[in-house]
Amino acid sequence: MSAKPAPEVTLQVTADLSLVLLVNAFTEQASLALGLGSAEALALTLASEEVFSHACRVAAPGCATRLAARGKGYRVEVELSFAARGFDLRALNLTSNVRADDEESLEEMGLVIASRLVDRLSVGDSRDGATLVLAKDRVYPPGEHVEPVTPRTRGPLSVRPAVSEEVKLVAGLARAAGSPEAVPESLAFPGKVVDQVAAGDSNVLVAASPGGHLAGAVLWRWASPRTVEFHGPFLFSAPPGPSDPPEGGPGRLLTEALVSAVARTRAVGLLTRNPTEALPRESFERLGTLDTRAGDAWVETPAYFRLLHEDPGSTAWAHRELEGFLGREYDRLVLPRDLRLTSDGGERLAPHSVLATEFRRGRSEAVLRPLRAGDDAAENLSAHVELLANEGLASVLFEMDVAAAWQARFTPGLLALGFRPRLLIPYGGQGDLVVFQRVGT
Amino acid sequence: MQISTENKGPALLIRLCGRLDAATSPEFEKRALEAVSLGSIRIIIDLAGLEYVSSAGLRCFLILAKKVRASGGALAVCGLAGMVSEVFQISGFQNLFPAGATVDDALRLLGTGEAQRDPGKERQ
Repeated sequence: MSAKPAPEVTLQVTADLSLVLLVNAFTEQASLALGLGSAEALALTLASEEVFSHACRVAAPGCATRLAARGKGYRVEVELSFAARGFDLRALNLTSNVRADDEESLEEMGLVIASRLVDRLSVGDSRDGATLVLAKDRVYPPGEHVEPVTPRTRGPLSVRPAVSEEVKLVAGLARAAGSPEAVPESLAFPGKVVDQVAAGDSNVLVAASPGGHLAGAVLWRWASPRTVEFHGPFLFSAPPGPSDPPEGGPGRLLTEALVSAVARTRAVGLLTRNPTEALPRESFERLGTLDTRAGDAWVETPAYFRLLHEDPGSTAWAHRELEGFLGREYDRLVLPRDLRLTSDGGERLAPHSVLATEFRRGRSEAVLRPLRAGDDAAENLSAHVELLANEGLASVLFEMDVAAAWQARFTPGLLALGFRPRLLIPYGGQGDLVVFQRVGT
Repeated sequence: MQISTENKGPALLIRLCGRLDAATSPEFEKRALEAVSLGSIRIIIDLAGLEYVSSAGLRCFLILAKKVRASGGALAVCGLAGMVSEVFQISGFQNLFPAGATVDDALRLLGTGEAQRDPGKERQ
């Protein structure tokens, strides 16, 4: 989804533990060369060793293994692909722990360590085998507090991409100007935003006077192969009223420039889940709302969407208990979809499901994303919810991609635990994304 | 990885420097178990010089601990820092062994009384 191809280094070996030093050297040297600091490179090396060692234990002798390290400046990903299927990856769940008196648990200890040492982890299965992608981010210093300044230059505003020092300034100004719910946590590290922009993974547009005063900004990135998500517009001086941005004001100027820029890409839609007061809402469709923690209170935060190109239509797979919600939303949003219900034909499933967990502690929120279905889907969900509640998180989201029929298996468990479908994001994943939310304990 | 040993009163101090991974842990396991078979049943592992430990290394600690306990001894660790400390926390191994900040702390945890004979401590 990035505009620029990431540099890549690859290694092909057989799954043989005697080659672990070669695998470690590859991961560490590639991580350093691709931009990680020594501590992050070492953590990624250890995670890679654990996954490779696990594969050596469970894969058939001589199983082909491919490692590919990709650098984005701010992040390095190591993809490990094995020509073998059926790995039990339950140890990647946040709820997994190690019991020293249990040999089976000790066998999975490496995967538990790997999953906790990386910043992101994804799992893929194909006809050719299994793939795990481990990602580690560079460590950046937090940004300093930035005081909004009164403009001393005048003249008509124009919108253009921000240059690197401006990107850092925008990060600081947006944090100072925006409500905490509307400002992405990533802006706490301005240097990282600069590197994300350089990698083509983020974009920053500023409304500036001819003299260079920044009156506002909007940030955007790819949320999925066909949807762009934006934050803002953030206004840094003379903010307009909540419902009536002045004609040609920075909020409207930025939004129009954003739509124009994204419309030139392959994106089908433009999304915001954290709109600011400066967003001209009449230019967007309201998707639904999520409850967001703001201090001690809950705020209902709407999400907005704009279709940029003709929707070619797609198939959506759903459990029958989600049919009503999806049918209503597809009708309301006039989205051409073939809604298909999944069924239980008694086919065999993997015994254990796997969920990825993203923490958004600043919002007292966590996001669960399914990596694999399994017979224990409901129990696994329940264990995650209990753990997250014990961590003091007030809200748990679950993102279900309706292009992947296997994800529908989580629906009964979600509803039984009190999750409710709140948002349908067109093309928010490989297909449409249903966002469930559970608030409170 | 470098492995060095030293007698500390009734305990055997094993210092590990470098990386304890799937390639180097068999050598550590072999040397440590040899020491136990030669009669060292109170063991301190100093990890201050260790920058990396994988699950293969952790399993060696566990095997060693079972061996010394079976012989009526005990194992303590010290010098946990950085990523090694993080790996101990993730795996829950920080609860499996007595852990001290220093070798003297670990000696105390083993109950050898050796640390009390530290001249520096006697002057206080």
